[in-house]
Amino acid sequence: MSYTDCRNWEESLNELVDGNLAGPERGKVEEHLLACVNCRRLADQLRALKTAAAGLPRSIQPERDLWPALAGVLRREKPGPGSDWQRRLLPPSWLTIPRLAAAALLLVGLTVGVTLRLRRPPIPGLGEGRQAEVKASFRNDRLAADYIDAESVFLRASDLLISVLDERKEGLTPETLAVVEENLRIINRAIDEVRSALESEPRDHQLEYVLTAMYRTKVDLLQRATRLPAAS
Amino acid sequence: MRKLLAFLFVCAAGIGLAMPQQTIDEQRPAARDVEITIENIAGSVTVVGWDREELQITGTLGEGTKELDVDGDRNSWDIEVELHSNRRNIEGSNLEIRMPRGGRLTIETVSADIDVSDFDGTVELESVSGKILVQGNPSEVELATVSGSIRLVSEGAVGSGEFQSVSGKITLQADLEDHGRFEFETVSGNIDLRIPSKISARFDISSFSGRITNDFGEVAVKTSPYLPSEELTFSVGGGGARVTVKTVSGNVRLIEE
Repeated sequence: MSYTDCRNWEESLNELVDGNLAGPERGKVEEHLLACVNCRRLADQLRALKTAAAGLPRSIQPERDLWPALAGVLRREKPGPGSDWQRRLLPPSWLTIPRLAAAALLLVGLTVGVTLRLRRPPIPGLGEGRQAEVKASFRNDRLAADYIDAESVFLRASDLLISVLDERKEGLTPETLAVVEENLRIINRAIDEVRSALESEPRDHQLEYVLTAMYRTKVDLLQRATRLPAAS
Repeated sequence: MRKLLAFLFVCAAGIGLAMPQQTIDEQRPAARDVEITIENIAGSVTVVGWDREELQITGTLGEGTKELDVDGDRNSWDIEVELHSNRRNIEGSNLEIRMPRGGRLTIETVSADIDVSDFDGTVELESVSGKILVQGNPSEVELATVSGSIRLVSEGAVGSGEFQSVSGKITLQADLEDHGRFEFETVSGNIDLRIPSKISARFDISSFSGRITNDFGEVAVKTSPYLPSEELTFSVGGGGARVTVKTVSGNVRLIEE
């Protein structure tokens, strides 16, 4: 199943996870899930995020450092049609600001099981050149903004987790750290390659989907690295 | 006098920390579906399933370990090799455990190798750099490492499984149950799936820059003219089991046994 095909199922997946599907419609989506690993993974992520968000108090405030990256996403409680990455990661029906802020933080940081201490100043989002490229490739500014937000969030999530990993370094063996760093380099090279392809084909949304998948892989690896048991 | 007492205290503590290897030989009652959790940082953990309703723990605790903590009741046991908090360099502890073969087993290690055999139950094994080897017919497996290899060898069919590594090689040599779900994921590790020709399964395999080879005939296709990515999706024997494989740079081989 190609990534392009999967995008046609995103809205149905959100409806399924929200419990809004029944009968043959539900059966059709469930049948597709059995056959499609990409959609199954997305559905699992949506369910996990929904479960995490449901258990959170409404009053949680996000760490200030992440807020600028999330703010652009979170200020829109009801995303319009076509805001594809938001629908992919953040189902609209429970898109309330405090819950989502907390859920996003939970997604990228709180599950690592350590206290996040943000010492560094906020990193900038995408460079102006990249933002212009993305904007040019989308039909309208709003979609472009969504995509820029998505990439910014992943960049910041990675940076956040690297900070956590920095603080845990002493607990891991040099060999383990070397493996993690080498594999981060492999993922970074893949990200560079996709971004380079996007420079040639800025309107290729499949490349954007692959780029998002690579960022997700990087965040997954960093999350895992921060959860590893200490060597002593 | 105070200095002398302090000196003696330090000596006593030093003697305590430098305890030589200790031998373990313990038994506990255990239900057939007992849940066993084992934590051991370095050395090895060997688990063998048996038909007795008993948990047996033998082996040695390496120098630098504090004690073996065994806590629980016949339905659930936690086994942990405890370390002195101020020791960084420890000698590995080698645990050999026998438990009811249909139980639920969870093991977490850092560099200790894990070897599980004659086991039919559920296994969840995680190691950072240790090797994981599972033999038998486990109903459900979750196996994860960073750099350690993962190997599951079964003469029968495995129920379902999740296999995850960062750079460690993953090898599955088994039949897959018809409706089982199997997920393999690695960044740079290679994945070998050695499966019987009569298998019934649907495969969804993708790699960003690794190569995908397939003894079953179907050929992987490039997903984009701009990237090295490959995907391979096909079914054999009616497509009963669902197998998904994802790598970034690791190679994937489907080998017909």
